[in-house]
Amino acid sequence: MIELAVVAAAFMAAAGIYGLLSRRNLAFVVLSLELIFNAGILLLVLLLPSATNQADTVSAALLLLAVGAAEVAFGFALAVVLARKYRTSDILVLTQLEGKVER
Amino acid sequence: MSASLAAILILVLPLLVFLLRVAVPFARRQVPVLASSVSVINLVLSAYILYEVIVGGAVLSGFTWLEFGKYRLNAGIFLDKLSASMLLVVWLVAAAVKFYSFGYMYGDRRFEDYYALLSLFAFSMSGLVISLSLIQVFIFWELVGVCSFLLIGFWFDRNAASRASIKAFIVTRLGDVAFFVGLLVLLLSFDTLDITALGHSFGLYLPEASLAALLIFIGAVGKSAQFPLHVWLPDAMEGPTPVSALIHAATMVAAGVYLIARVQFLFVDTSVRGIVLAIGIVTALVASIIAVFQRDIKRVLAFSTISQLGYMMAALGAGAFAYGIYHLYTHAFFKALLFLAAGNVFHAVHSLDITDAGGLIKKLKWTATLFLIGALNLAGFPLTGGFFSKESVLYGVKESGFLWAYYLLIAGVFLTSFYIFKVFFRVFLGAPGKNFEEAHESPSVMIVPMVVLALFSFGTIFLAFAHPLNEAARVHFSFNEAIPSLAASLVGILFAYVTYGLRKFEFEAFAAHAIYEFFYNRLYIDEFYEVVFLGGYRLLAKAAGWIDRYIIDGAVNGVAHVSIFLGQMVKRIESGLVQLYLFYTLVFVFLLALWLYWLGGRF
Repeated sequence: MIELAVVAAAFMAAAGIYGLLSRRNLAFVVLSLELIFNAGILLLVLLLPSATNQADTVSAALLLLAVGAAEVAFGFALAVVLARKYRTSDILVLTQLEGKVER
Repeated sequence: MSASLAAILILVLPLLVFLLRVAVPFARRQVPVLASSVSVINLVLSAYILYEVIVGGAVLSGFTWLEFGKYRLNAGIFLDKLSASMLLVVWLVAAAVKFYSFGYMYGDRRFEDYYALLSLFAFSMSGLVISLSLIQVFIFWELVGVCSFLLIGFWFDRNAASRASIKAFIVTRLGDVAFFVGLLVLLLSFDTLDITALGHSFGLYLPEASLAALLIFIGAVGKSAQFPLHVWLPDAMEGPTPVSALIHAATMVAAGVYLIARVQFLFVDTSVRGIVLAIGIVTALVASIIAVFQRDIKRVLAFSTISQLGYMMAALGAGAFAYGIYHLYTHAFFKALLFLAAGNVFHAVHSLDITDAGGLIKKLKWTATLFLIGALNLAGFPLTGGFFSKESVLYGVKESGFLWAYYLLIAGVFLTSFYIFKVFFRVFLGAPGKNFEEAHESPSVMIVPMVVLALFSFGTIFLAFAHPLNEAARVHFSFNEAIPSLAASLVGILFAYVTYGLRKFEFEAFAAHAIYEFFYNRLYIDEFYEVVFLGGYRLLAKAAGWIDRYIIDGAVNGVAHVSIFLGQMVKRIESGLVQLYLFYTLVFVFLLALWLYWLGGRF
């Protein structure tokens, strides 16, 4: 049973990575990041209890969920601000941090 | 005052004059006068040393200068009859030249520098003469070379002078390398470089000693302008004439002869002596033949000097060391005299070409007389110093058994008297030449030193009967022995009188002829060296330049080009797309995982 859950976590991470690499919309990129993050938490919850105290595992997982929520809140807020300011969410257009490099 | 103290004073005083010019700016005006007074003081001191040495025997004093391994190099003063008499000759000529230069060089832009350099030269030459060990001789040997370089190029703004000074420096350096190697051979095989210690060491018959003798002789060939390395001396005439008289006639060029006489104990092997003799004969003959065809008075005298040094070398090669040195002394006086007379001619008519001059005896009575005295000495006319010394040399060569050498030298005597009297008759007799009207006799400051030199050239007759070098060296010949060379000399003078005195047959009429050109251009030896050695050197330089430009630079530039190319390639990866970077990361993490897995499988 636990193997099925690990495979599910792997699928989640793979889907997240695929989204992260292929999506051009910033909102979906943040979404993909969150997917990878949650796959990690899922693995933590599934695999750690066999090694350590269950209460510790649960509290660590709750902490990570809180961090993930905060991160998502920041990510979406940024995406919304950028979309409002530049009227686009396309990360190939939002390249101001890249600097002026000659190609 | 002891003799060694006097010798130290002789060294220190001229050096102080030189340092005064170098280090004390406001003392500039005093340098010429000081240099001349020092030369008079040193003349007296060296006469005193000679007296002390003759009365009290040789003086040796020194200290250990360097010690390494089992070797010990000493420095100090070695005064025997040879070095003390040579010292006197050096200072006699130096004093005469310094006084003469007051007239000749007066008004020159670097008048004071000239005297400073003359003082440095006189210091170096005295050091060379009285050195205790051969390493010391070598140091002073190089110093006189530097002085010669500086004085030949004294008017360095003239291209010919600067080229001549460089040529002299480089050509003599060829011999100096051999000299230095010879010193190393001596040091390795005899553990010492002291002249006296070497003279008393065992094994002087060994091949090492002969090898060292040969190498030292090559050094002397460079310095004394003997045959293959003689090319620098004619060009050295670009320097001021008094310099030619002092350095390139009387003292420095004779240093090679002096050195051979100094280390004569090394020349026990007859084959080495044979080489010295052969080089001397070839030089004496070739140089006198070339001298016959020269037009410039100073060039005639330069080739004459080379030729006379050849006579000295021949005497040394024949084993007649004292005779060779005797000829060195007389030659120093009369050749310096001839050079100074040539300087007077230049002073008067501003040309040294003999075809420009003529009839100058009417204007330059003193100069003509003094030139005649020098010429008679050079030609070996009876009752001159030159007669006795030349007969001694010829006698020494004849006694050694090399009859062919003796006859070749007799032929040289004919050529010698011909070329010098050719100059005398052409310049001083006959119809007036160029600039004749403005010509005037030189001031007495120039004439008096020449008179002194002329007197000393007669004074050397005394040496024929009481030779200071050793008892056995007294002149043995009878006048019957002297008949062949005397005849050759008189025929030469007569021939010169007919051809040039009476203007019957002047060689210069054939100036365009190929044979005349061949001899006038010094057998094209300089051109031969130019093509073979300088050309070869340039070829080598070109090859080295090609290697530098295309192989070494090519490698360096190649590295740069490859880096730039690789940079251009790698640059494309850095597209600025974060997603692409992430993809690369992922690929490498995947590869890393595979690698770790593969590692894990291994264990």
